[in-house]
Amino acid sequence: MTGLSTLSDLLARLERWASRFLVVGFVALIVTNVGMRYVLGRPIVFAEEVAAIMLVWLAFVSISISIHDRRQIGVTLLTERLAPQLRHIVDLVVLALVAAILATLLWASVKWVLSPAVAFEQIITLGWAKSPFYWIVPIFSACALIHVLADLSEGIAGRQNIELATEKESVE
Amino acid sequence: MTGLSFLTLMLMAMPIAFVLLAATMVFVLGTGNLQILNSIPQILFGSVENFDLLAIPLFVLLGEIMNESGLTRRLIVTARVWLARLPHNLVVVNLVSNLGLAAIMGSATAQMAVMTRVVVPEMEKDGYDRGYAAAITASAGLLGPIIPPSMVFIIYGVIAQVSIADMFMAGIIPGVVLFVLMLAIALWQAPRNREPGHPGAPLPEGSRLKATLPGLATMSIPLIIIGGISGGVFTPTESAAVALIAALFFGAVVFRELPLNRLPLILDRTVTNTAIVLFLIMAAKVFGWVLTFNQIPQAVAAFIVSLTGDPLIFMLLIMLTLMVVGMFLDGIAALIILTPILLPVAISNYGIDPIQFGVMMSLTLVLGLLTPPVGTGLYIAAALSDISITRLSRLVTPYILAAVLVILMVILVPWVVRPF
Amino acid sequence: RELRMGVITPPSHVWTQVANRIAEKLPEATGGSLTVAVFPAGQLGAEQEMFQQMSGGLLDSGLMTAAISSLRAPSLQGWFTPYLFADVTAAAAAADTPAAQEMLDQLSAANLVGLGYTFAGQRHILMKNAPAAGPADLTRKKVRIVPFPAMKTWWDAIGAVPTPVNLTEVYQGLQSGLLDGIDIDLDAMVGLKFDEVAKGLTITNHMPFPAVMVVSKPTWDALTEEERSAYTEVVNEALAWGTAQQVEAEKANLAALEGKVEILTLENGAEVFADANKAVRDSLAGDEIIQRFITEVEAE
Ligand code: NA
Ligand code: NA
Repeated sequence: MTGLSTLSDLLARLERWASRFLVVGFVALIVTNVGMRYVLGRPIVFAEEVAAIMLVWLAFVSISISIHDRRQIGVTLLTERLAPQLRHIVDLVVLALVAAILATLLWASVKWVLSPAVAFEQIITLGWAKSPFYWIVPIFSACALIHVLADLSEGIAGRQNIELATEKESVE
Repeated sequence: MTGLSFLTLMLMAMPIAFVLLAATMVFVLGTGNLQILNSIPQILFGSVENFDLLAIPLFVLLGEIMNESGLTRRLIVTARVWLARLPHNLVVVNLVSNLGLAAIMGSATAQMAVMTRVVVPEMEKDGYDRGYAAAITASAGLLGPIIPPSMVFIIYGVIAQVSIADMFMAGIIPGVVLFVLMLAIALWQAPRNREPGHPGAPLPEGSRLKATLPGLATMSIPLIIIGGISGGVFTPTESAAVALIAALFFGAVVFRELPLNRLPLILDRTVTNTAIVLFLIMAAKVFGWVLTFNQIPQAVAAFIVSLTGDPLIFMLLIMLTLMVVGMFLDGIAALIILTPILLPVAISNYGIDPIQFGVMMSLTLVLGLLTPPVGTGLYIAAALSDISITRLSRLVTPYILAAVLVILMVILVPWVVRPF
Repeated sequence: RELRMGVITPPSHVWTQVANRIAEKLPEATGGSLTVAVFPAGQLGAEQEMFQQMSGGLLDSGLMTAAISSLRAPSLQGWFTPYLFADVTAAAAAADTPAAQEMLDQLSAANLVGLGYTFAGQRHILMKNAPAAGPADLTRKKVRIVPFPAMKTWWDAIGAVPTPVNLTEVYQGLQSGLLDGIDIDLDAMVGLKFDEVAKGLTITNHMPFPAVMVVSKPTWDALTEEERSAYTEVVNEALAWGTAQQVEAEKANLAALEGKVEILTLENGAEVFADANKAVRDSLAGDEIIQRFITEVEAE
């Protein structure tokens, strides 16, 4: 285990708790809204807008978790037939490319959340500034980057089976 | 360049969502307008900031709770008790339970996984050939995304900006027709696939009434969903949340089969499956946005239009193309990538109803679950029932043909998607 | 140089046709140096997203609703002062007031240039059953609104339950009773066939629904003096053309609805909805440009 892997595992635990709270949170919000509408005749005006933002947060947190768990789907048809050493090299290349993508995303998203253009955005039904919620994108990019770099360091240190994708259990 | 990097990275087993992001970046480098990179975070955020998409994690969670709390099993027991006197009753039970489950679950693979585990061993005990049993079960899983609720329909509705409730209603007739066709094929094949003179599996213990009540309770969940949406009591997303509470109530309070300490695990599985779909939606949106910004879909559209002016030929052409695409690419990923390109052509050049087009696209791409070489449903059913993928893909062929017939019906008789 | 122009409306909508008209006329007016590619139906994103893209200089221009534009230029809310305008013609006349131009100037804070206005249909009230004659018929009724502050304030003050629902779900919402009514323009009502599921139309004319032609500041600065004046001329002609189309559409829509729904024309809405109208005016009282706008309009 490298230090990065320890950090990555720790982060993943944190993310898992965050994701559970988000799911429970928006189920509660939606059910409460239905109840308010039918029982009290007063729907929560901001329910849909806020729930949608919670979904965005859940999406980013859960994607980071699935990267840590290496559960994102990909086509492993060809790599399964490669010799183990060759496959290991292919996996390392893929991890390095993914790290590069995430690093680019981190750079672009930090620029985005700090840009003056986002300061005008509002959660209209609440009248709140929306830009603080945009921080999830750089946070996600950084966390996912740590997960991928941890895998990459394990792979370079010689651990096998670091393929990022799986072909099983997608939902359709 | 973009296409080549797309293909190479995909075959290197890079997760498809990252393949899309990588292809986007290659394309952006090619245009030389690096400013486009700045808009990527914003598009990622905006692509899933949508109340309708919330239905996806909710329906995934509902499916998980159904399975964990034994509600799925109770549904099958009820069907068995009631259909016991029919010839080949387990074949009927298999398909009927799949139909009932399809009215609760939004995805095919989750349904295939649980049904293969539960029903295939039962059918084997009753003297049926295992391959035959696995083929019916895997094929009947196709009902999942056709009968409402349906994740594929939700995603299409969001992309196409059509009512999700309309999409849900549109799936009912094609789904029921597919069910009938599959039942007919399965019963026709049944005598040849059952060991002659086999004594049969014993019926579940207990009285009819005792076995029935839990099944009836379970079937209140599709009533909440389909009745709630068509009666306008709930939006699709709300129906999922309310059904979820009902399932939790039955599982944890009434039947007490769902220990609450299993909830974190259930939530985690939901989160993982959600992550896969939402990441695909995000990445495909970025890819599609960059292509649109550079007017590529417009060019593709012009090319398609130059091929034919007839809406029927256009639809058949798209159907064939999508069947090939579905052989290799995950259906949801393909739907997300292709809808923004094909739908505007279908509407403005051929005057096709977006609902009809959506049902056609969704059904065709869902078929890809059962077609080799890349077929998630095929892999799951083969692995769980321990038979070879080659054999299973041969055995599901008649059922795939039935589904093709249903798709042709959707193309030729548009009424079936707008009957109400 | 090709300029990209985004619109959220579908291809058939007047606003999209305004954009198409600009695309058609600009090449000739600039001797071929400028062309326009139109992206309808929100192909490049929701309005908030298009705004960010324009601020950053990625998207060149867009025909944006005044409602969402008011996040960048708060004084644009002044357009939604209830019962300030009798109809589309009256609203269009107000576009030439100095205060309306000042509202556009406010967009420069977001790195944007506002060139002018065009109009969608006036806002009216469509109820599932009988047409509403006043606030009493709307108390505690669930009414679909476009979520922006002025409209929400107005409906809250009436005592209704303003509910933001996706436009694609409105038909079903009315049919099933999830919604009791909607705040709507006649174009959308006819186009989306709401007359099939709701029967009581009150012609209230309570608010106009303007669009603003917005150009990215970086794009604007990169154009030559001649290109800018040619662009402005083509845009102004197209915006005026769009408004004229809308004036005709109001009549045609109303004729098309005759006999299909029960129509109540409310002549004294300013009095009937006086409390709600005041609530919106109070909420806008702090904005000095809006106050001048109201004075200038009422003086005419
Ligand atoms: Na289903
Ligand atoms: Na396939």
